Amino acid sequence: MAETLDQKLGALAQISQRKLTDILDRIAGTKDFIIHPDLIKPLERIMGVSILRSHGVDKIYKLEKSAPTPCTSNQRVFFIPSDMITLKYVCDKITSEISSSGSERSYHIVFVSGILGCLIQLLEEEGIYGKVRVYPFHWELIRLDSRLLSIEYPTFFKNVFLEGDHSYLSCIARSIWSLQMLLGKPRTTFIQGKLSHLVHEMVNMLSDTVQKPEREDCDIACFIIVDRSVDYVTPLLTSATYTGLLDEVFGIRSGTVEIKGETINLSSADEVYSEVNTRHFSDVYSFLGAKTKELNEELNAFKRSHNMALQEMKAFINQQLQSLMGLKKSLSTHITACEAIIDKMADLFEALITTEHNIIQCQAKRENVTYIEETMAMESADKFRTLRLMGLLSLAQGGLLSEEVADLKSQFLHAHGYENLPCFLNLEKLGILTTQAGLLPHDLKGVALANRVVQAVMLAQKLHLLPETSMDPHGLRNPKDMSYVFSGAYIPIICQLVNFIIKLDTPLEEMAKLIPNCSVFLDSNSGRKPLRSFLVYFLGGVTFAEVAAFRLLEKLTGSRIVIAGTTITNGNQIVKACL
Amino acid sequence: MESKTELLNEAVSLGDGNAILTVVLFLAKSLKKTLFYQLLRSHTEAVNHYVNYLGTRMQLQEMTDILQVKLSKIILQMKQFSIACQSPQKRLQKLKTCLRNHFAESKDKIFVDNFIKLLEWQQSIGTAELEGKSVIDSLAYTCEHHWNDNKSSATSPYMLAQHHRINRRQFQWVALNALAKNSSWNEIETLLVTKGWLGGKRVNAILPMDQVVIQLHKLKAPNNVLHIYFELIDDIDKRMCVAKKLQCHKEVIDVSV
Repeated sequence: MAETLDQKLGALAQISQRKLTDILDRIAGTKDFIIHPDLIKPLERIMGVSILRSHGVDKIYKLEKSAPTPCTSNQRVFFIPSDMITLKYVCDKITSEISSSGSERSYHIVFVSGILGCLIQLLEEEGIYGKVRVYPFHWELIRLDSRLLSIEYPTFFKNVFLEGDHSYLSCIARSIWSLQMLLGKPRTTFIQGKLSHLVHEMVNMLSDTVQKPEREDCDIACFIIVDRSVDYVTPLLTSATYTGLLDEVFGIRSGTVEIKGETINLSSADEVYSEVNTRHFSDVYSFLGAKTKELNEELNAFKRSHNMALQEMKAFINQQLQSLMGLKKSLSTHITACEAIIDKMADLFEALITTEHNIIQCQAKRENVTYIEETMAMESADKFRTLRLMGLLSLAQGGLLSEEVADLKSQFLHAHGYENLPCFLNLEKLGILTTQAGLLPHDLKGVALANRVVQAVMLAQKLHLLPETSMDPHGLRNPKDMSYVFSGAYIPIICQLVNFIIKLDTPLEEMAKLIPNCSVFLDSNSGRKPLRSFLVYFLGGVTFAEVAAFRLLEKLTGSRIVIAGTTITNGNQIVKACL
Repeated sequence: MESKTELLNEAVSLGDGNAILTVVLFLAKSLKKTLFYQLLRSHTEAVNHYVNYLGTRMQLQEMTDILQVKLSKIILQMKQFSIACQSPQKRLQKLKTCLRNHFAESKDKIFVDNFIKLLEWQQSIGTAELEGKSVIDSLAYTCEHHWNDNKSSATSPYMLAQHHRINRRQFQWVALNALAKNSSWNEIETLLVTKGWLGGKRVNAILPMDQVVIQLHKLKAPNNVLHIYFELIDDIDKRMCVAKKLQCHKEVIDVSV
C-alpha cells in the first residue's frame, strides 16, 4: 500500500533515530552523553530521552565551556556540532580528564554535521587522535510542523553566506538526496543562486554514485532550491502574522517558544494554534477572545444542565470535558502570548510599519531616515531593528550615498560602541547595506554588487511584489493576496514565483529568466501538466512570513507546498550574523 | 607538483568546502611557502577557506601573509580590528598597532582613531563606571557629572561631543535624560528652547516635542515643566495624543481653547 506524503515525512525522524542508535550501539555498555546546548532542542524533536536510555545512555550532561563535566561512566560520548571551536573545548576537557585520572576511559565524539578534515587535524595536533573515536552523524530534515522541515543549522547562514565556508554544503546535499530517496525524483526542478547550484550538483552526484531513487513517480511535482540572498527584503521587514511576531519578539527555536518561563509547543496538532498560526496579528486577539467566550458558554451550559441524566453526564465528562479543558488551557496560553507581544511591540508597531512601508515604496525618504536616526538617538528600538531598517532602505534605494552611510554608521557606532565597525563591512558583503555604484572600493567587486541591487528593484516591478492598493482591515482578516503577511506591503519573491508557476501563464523556461541566476531542469516527459505539489528549500533559512504566504497560496489554489530550510530565520538572525 | 595542482582544481570544482580545505591543509604542509602561495593565488575559493580556518585558529601571522599576497585589505583590516577588540587588557595597545598597520588609508580610519581617543579619555576619567561603554554612555556620564564644567575642559560633554562629532539629536536626548536625573529643569530649558523677540518661546531642539514630554513625564518632571514643552508641540493631533496618554487635564483644556 502506498504511503501518504504525511507518513513519509514522518519517517524522517525514524531514519535519524536509527542512524544515532546505530552509533550508540557500537559503543557497547553504559555511557555518559555530553551534548552541546544548541543541539538539545533539535534532538528532542527527533527522539525522546527514553530511546537514548534504551541504548545505553546513563547520564546526560550539557557541554559547558568552562565548568568540568561530571563523570559517571568510563565511556564518554560527546555530541557536538562540527566546528573547530567547540571541538577545541572538547579536546581541552579530554586532555585535562586524562591528565587527572589516567587513560582508562574511552572517548567518543559524534559530529552532527559530519567529520571534516580540519577537525581530524585538530585532534591530531592536540595529541588525542589515537584516544578518541569519531562518528559522523547527519540527522535528516527535522519536521517542525506537518509541512515545514528544517535541518536546524542556525550557523549555516553566517558560515556559508558571510564567510564563504562551503564545508557544510555537502550536508545539505545529503539531506536533499535522502528526501528524494524517500519521495522520488521530481520531474521539474528550479535552482536559484550560486550555492543552490552547487548543492544541486552534489545531489546529482550522490544519486549517480551512491544510489538513485527507485521509484518512478514522485510525491513532489516541482522541487525548488533557492539561496536566501535572492530576497533579503522579506526577513528584514517585520512580519505581521501571529507566529511571525512570536518569532520576532521571543525567538522560536525548533518549534518551541518560551514566554514568561513557560515553554509553548507550536504545532498544528494544537487546535487553537492551527487557527491563529498564520493569521494577521490584528485579528488574533479578538479571535481568541471570541473563542474563549464560546467555550465558557459551553461549559456554563453544562453546569446549568441539572436535568442531565447521570449516564449522559458521565459520558460528557469522559469524552468532552477533558478536551474542552485542554482547549481552555491552550486558549489562555495564546492569549498570554498575544498580550506579551502587544506589551513589547505596542509603542513601536505603528510607526515602524509605516516607516517600513514608506521605505519599500520609496516614499518620504527624509522621514524614514529621521525615524532610523531616532531609533539610535532615543533608543526607541534595539540595534537589530536599526540595522534592519538601514538594510531595507539601502535595498529599496539600490544603495545609499556614501555620506548617508557614513552618517548612519557614525551614529550607530556612537550609540552601540565602535567595536561594531566590522558589522558594516559584513552587511556590505551580503549586499544588504551598500554604497551606491562607482564609489565602492574595487576589491569588493563594486559593479557586480551594484548590479545586484538594481536588479532587486527591477525584480520587484517585474514580479508585482508591491501591491498597488493598500489593504483594508477586512482584507487582512480574509486575505486573498499573499502580501497580507506584511499588511499589504510586499510579497516574498519566492512565494510569488510559486504562484506564477501554479498559474502557468508563461512557460517555465521564461519564468526562470525572471529571477536572477535561476535555472530550470525539466525531465523529458514532464510535459505541460499543471504543477500542484512543491517542495521549496531555502539555503540560509526560511522566514515565518514566507511560511504563512505559502499556506495562503495552498488555500487559494488547492496546491500542496512542503517548505524546508537550513533553519527558520528572521531579520534579527540575519543582522546578528553580521555583528 | 602537477598532481597537486590538479588535486586543488578538482576540489574547487567540486565545490565542497571540506574537500577544498582538506586539500589546502595538505598542500600547506607539503609545499614550501612561495609555491603554496603561488598555487593558492589562482583559487579565490581556496584562499577564502584557508583564511577562515586561520582566523578560527587565531594563526594571524600566516593569515596576514596570505591576505597581503592576495585578496582585499579590507577583510584583513576588519579581522585585525575584531581581534584587537577581543582582548580587554591590551585592547588600546592593539588598536594602536592595528591603526598604524592597517587603517592608514581607510575611510574607516576615523572610527578607529576615535575609538582609541575614547578609550584614552575613559582611562583619564578613571572611573570603572565607564569601562567598555559606548560614546553615548560616556556622554551621559559627563552630562550627569560635568554639565557645568568649562566648555573647553576635557570633561565637558560639549568637548566630548565635538571630538566624536556626535549628532545633535543624540546629544540632546542624552543630555535631556541625564539632566532630568538631576532635576536640572532649567538647564533642560536652556538646551531645548530659545526665547524669541517678544518673550515668546521657540523650539531649539531637533527632538520631537511629543516624545520629549512623554519622556520628561516618565522622569517625573513637575507639571509646570511639562507644560512648557507641551505648548511647543505644534501638531494638534499629537497634543491630544500626548494629553490622553498622560491624562493631563489642564493641557487638554489648552488644546480645546
